[in-house]
Amino acid sequence: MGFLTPLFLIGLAGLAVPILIHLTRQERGRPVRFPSLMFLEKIPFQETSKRRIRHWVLLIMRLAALALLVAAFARPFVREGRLAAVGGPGPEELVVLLDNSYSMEMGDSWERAVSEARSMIGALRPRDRASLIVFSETPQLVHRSIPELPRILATLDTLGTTSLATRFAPAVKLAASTLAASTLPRQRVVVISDFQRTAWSPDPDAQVAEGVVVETVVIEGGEIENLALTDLELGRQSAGGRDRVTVEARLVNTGESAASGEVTLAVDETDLETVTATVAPGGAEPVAFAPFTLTAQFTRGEVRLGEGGEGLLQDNTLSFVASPGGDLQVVVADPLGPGDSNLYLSGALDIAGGAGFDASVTRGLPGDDELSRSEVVILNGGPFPGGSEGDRLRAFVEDGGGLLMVLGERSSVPSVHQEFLPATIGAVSEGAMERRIGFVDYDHAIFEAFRGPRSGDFSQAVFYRTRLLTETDGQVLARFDDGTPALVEAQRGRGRVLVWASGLDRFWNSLPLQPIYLPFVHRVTRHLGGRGEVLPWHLAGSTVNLAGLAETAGSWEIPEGAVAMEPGGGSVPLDPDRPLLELDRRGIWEVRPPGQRPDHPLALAVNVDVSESDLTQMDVQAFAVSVGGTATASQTGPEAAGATEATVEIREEDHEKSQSFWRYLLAAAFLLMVSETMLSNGLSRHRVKEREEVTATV
Amino acid sequence: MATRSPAGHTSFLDPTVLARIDNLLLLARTVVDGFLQGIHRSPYLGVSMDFAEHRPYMPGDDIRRIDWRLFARTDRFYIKQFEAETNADVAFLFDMSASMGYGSGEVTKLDYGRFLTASLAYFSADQKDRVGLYAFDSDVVEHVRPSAAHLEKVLHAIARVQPRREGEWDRPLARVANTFRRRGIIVVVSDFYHDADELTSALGLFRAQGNDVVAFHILDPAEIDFPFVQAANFQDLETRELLPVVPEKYASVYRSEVRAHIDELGRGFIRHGVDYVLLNTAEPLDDALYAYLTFRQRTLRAPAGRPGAGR
Repeated sequence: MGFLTPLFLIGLAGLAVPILIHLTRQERGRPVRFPSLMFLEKIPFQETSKRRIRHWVLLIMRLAALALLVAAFARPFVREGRLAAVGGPGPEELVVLLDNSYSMEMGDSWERAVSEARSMIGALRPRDRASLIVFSETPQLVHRSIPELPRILATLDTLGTTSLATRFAPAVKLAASTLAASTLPRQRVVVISDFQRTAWSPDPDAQVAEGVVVETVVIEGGEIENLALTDLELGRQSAGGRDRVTVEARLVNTGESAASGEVTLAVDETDLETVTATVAPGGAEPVAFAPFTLTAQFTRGEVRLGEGGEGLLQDNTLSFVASPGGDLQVVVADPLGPGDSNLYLSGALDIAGGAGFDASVTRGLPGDDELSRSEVVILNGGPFPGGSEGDRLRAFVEDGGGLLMVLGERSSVPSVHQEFLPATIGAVSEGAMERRIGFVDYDHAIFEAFRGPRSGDFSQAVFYRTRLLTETDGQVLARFDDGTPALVEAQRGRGRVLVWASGLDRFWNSLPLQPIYLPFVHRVTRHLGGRGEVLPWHLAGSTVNLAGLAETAGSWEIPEGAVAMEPGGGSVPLDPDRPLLELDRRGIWEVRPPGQRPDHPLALAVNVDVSESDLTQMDVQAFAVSVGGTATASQTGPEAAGATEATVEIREEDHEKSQSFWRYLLAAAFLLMVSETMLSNGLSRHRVKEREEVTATV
Repeated sequence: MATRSPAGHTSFLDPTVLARIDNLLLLARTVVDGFLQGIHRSPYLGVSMDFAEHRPYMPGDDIRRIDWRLFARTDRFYIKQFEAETNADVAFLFDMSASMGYGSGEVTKLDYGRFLTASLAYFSADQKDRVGLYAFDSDVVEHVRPSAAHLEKVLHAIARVQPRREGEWDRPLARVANTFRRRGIIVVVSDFYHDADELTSALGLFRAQGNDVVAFHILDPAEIDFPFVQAANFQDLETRELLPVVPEKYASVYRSEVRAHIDELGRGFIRHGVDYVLLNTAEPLDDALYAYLTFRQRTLRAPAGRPGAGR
């Protein structure tokens, strides 16, 4: 017998309190007024009566309750003896982390993983508790610390793999938080996975507490040779008003020997072409197909690996969705006409003829016919036209066109059209001070693609000359490092107006020499033309906003009451206000009203994260160490449980925690207090009754 | 007012009924007249008239009171004036100490003593005695000189007294001795919470000086029976002292102590020739009035200054 916090036993001195109360404060009621104590004082009983304890039961109950409270706070436990023998090393809290990423589909990996989990949970004893977490990119807590082990075993039969990649860190964090809530003395985490190297990067937050045993059960997938389709590129060409798409896939061989496979392109469920490719060990090979013509919106395509793709199945297919769009009609109005002043801009819009732009350079605003066919007008260094020309330009914008005003030395705005622009144009700033882009609104559609690391650095561009802009009612999308606006946007009617404070050539800045120049010009132009970026396919696990998707898809709108149809069947209801869709399965997702099968509804292609195709295993020992815990074990089979139990040191805290006598002591103290209160109230009522009877008698 | 008691007697003497009468004179008259009617005795029982002096006849005087013999000798009308032969000074020593304020029922000891004193004063005045009052606690608080015309003053003084202070006997008795020089009757009304020997000796001195002394010992039933059950702190009404008491075990001891005190008082008063009457505030005033009546009869028969037989 011992106490975890014996200092609390000092509180036993408090036992004197009820005794003193009994002796000194027996009667606290109103004194009885009596004419004279002359005779009472003659009776030698007062002293003894003061010290007489009248209600022994009450006193004993109070003392016992107090003693139980003190004992509970002292946290008693039994080191040895019957209880310890029965409990052994104490109950255990087990968290099973089961990898259900698509790499577990390799061979019978998943079945063996489930079997391992079943063995682990089946080996637990009656007082143990278990939690089950399945994880891929995100973890899912299926059962949290339950003693009903058969329930977990039954759940295991219902689980399956996903189309997602493995991420260990979130799963370890969830396991750590689950164990932190447990009071059981022994805690263990078992990670059952194929332990791909790409799935783990050390994270200081992804660690279990000290003393938690971490076991790793490696599910060997056999040969790690795997042919996978890892990339897909769609090239477009417009010919005769029709879009022709060239599909090129990338075939990767992660094995140690050369492998070949048959790759087939299918469009709208029709196989168009099959190519056989041989890939060197650890190498990649592009597989290109002949172009095909896009005839309908949301045309579905698929590149699949047939013969030779016996490894992972989910990375054997890459899907895509493409819609015919045509080239964006752009007019570059440059007062100097075609030449050096618009060399870079023209080149960016006409690069290799496949940028999706049909750009022409004019000295002034084109005629009505050409303007009506145009979608974007770029005023490159020239003034905003006055008079009827200006009115035409304004009408063009308000009718849905886009206007980019690239400022130069000759740029000006007639006062009547000043309010049409989102900013007033000031003087040319020049001098020794160079400017750079200091702020970019990455939330805007133009700059969203540059948000990530190594996705373009605008600060590399040096601006020698700019026009000083002062925004009026426009939104500043970029600023120079001195705080002055660089790019200002405003909506006018159904169209947009953008003002760029410097040139798009080399005369005023070095932007055209930067890698971001081309995507920047493309994205600005597409944004003005109302052509958002439509991805041919999405990564499994990503979430898309269908409202934004519909907007970029042109005139397409989400049908009333539409639902998202999953690739394997089943549907996901959509919130009309926030139509967010989590794409957690590989394949083609459709958005359409339930029960209807329209031709070519909005479709989304979802492909798996190809990083999961790399089955190279990590160092599991290093993994176990990096996630923390006092005792670690790396096992590949269920025999790990017994080995681990021997390593657990049973501390006093563990004894106390497992026995938890304090709970019973507190409960007993509470019961005693309740009983004492009831008894005391009963006695009080009895006394009052007696007093009333005496009064009545007198 | 004239309700019937269970015993069949009128309840004019019931203290709880009397407690509802505010006017002490009315109360005293009600008590005495009712009492005397109840016993069918003359209100002038034992009273005889003696010639005192003559005075010239005044128009309006009763001609029956003209001394015709003196007229024959002097040829003038003289009226004979008589004086009651027992005409005496009656001094009431009324204990108004705080302990007299105790009452377990409707009537406190002070109330009971007030009824008693008022009734006896009225009775005495009715018999042509001169009534006076000494109301005292630790000292004499109210003093009404004995006089035939001071009944109302006495009653007023009694009505005013409030039990507040601790009781004392030495100083009040000394003042009584200094002011009550004429032989007379001394009626003591008290709960006698004092040493019995000292009390009886002190009052015995008055007796030895030729006064007739009667002591009415007023006690509440709770003081005699001590019916308390629950342990409690008992507080002395005079000293405010608190004493934790467990009555259920020591009530009998208390009762025997009280009994011993009463016996000691009785023996002491008898020894000193003082009449002693124990009164219970729960009982009617009959005993007190009978006792006083008997006492007066005896004092009328015995020459003043001679100790009479005790009760």
